[in-house]
Amino acid sequence: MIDYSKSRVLIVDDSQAMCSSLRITLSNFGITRSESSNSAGEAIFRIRHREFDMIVCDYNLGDSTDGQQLLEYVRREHLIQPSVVFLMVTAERSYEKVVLCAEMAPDDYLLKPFTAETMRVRLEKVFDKKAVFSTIYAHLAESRLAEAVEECDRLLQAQSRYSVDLFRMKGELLLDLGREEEAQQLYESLLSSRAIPWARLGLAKAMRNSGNLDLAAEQLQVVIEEMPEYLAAYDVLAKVHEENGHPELAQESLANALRMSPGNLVRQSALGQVAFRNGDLETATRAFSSVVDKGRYSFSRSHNDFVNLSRVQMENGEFAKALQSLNDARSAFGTAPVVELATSTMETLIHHAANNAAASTAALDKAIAARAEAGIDLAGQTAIDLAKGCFVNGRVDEGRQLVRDMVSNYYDDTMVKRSVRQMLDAVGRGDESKALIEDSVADVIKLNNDGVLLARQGNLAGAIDLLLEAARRMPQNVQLGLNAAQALIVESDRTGWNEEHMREAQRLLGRHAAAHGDLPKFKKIKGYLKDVGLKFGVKVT
Amino acid sequence: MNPARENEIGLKDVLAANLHETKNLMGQLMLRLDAMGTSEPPVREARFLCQQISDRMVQMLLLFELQDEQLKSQPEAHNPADFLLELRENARAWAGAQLVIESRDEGAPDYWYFDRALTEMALMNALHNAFRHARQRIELVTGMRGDCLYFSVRDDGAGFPDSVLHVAGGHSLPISRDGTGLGLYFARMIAAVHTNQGRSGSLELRNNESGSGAEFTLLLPK
Repeated sequence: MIDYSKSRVLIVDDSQAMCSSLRITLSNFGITRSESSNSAGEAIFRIRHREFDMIVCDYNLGDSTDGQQLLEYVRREHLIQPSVVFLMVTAERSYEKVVLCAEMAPDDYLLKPFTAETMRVRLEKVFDKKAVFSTIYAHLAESRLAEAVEECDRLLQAQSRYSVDLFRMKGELLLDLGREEEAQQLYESLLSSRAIPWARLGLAKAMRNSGNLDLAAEQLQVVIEEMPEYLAAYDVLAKVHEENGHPELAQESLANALRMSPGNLVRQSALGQVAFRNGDLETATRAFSSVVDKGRYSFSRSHNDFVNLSRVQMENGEFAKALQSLNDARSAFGTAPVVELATSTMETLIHHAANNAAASTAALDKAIAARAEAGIDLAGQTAIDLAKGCFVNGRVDEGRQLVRDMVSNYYDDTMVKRSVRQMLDAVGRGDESKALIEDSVADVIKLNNDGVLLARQGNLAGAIDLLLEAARRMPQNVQLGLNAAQALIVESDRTGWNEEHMREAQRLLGRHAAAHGDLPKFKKIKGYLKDVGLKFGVKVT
Repeated sequence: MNPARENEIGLKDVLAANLHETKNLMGQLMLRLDAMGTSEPPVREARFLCQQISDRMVQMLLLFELQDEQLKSQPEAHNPADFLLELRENARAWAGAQLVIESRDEGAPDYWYFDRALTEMALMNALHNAFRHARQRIELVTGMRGDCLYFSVRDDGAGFPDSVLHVAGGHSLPISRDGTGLGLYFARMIAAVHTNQGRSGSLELRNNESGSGAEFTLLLPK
């Protein structure tokens, strides 16, 4: 029998009575450290403030949300470690289908009514599985994805009884690592004996990532035909269509998924954004209104929901409504710099559209001040809006700089480029877009080269200044991040351990580990970091 | 949507909401009874009764699904031995010292694709039968026969009556008042909806060669 005496459990159920039944049952297994929440919002609050070993969650949590959305939220936002057990409890047999079609599955689920014996046996199995996976989780916590894959292989070779889970985990890791060919092989071999929906979705993702958009779309159509309830497939299909130059099909795919499950606010917001890019303001308005409306009691709501709605209202010429949406955002989310930045940026554009030049300039000043205060991590659409605000207020150089940063930051993102082009068209600078986008890519290359050259000339401090500042402005750009990290490590190697700089180097590597940990250059710099750590007797993870 | 229609609540919704609440209450009752422990026979009996009511309720729900032609299996990868162990632990809790209940793995693979809830229901019915007829012992067994995984429930009672054995292959089954036939009817349905690449599961009923004891076997295709 497993010793649960140190385990801390969170029970989430909208029924107080069920919470207490579960609490009694768990305490009979020796789990005495338990807390309960009656709503998803309260559960999120507790999860943010305390570490739990297990979450037992009811699928049905009242009107605004369900346990599956809670699970996906806490896993996606990394609010819980992968080692934390998530057990779903539900009275709906149809939940089996939800699990089968979900991008993220709980560790197990129990159909009500169930006995204490059943729960005890299930818990033992789940904790056993977590123990088998513990090395993989430890690698994941340190972003060592390639090592995690090796551990999957080792367990598979040892004929682990969890081979299906291991294959699924390995496939996802290979996709994260950019090893599409291996991922494709793995999924194809799984599919040869059974039509497993997640394997077909994985296959489509591998095809998408290696640029075979037509093949990916074909696979996704098969998934949807085999299992129309598999909503995650519609999301990926929408992305594939948009990358493939069929934005209207992308919109249709999301709309189809939403017809089946209108409650998913993340998807609703994605529909709004595609529709907005497609110039379908009616659909965009409906989608964003619904997000704001239904999201009122949702844990996943954000100020961006209001800003998105405001943007469409502005495009519709409803300036008063658009400003009201921003006020709603401020009263719901306070005046944190990120909120201030996003709302003031939008305000600039609304006042400009309403021919209120003075107010537009004032709002732009506020936005730029908030940006300075908030740091520079700009969310995609806000950056484009801010650039637009600069252009319409005659601050052309700042606008151009924002566009350059944006493009260099997301140089492989077709949707960003499309939005940038549309914005430049709107401010009458369509003729600049080709040059701006191409120049930006050239700029990054030059920046990189300048930094490397400075370092080679012995001006290490100059190189670090240049590269660090560039890496901060373009946090997604892997070449800049790696070069900056390297310059920082060289400095410590030559002039002695600089704690602050070395922590910065580790942070930079950490940021790119998931997507680029397999690059030879990444591995080399990581090894260099360890060597320098050894040299000065500092433990580096 | 038409606002008048929106406010109209159909009979189906009322039924669904009611059933949902019933399952929740039943779930609580079950856990509360379980928390009282197994040592007292009256508590044990109450737990078993509660399980039987729950099984009947699930059967009724399946009947609705059958009527709407919505009964489909949702196969997922599960470990057959673990699944059987869970059933054994439950059966032991209900039986107390009256019966010996064992489970045995005769070479089942680490995982198999099957619908856990439906399969559990089929075996639960078999188990209820075994409880009624076993003298001392019930055996739960899993293993492979050809390309199929099997789950068997064997008891040491008087065996199935001829009337049950003879219609085993056919569609019409005598459904007696105590529900014996009904359980088999469901088990056959559940076997039939387990399909993969054109093959489906089946149900097999037979009596032990030594002359005593019934053996219920559910076969599930790869």
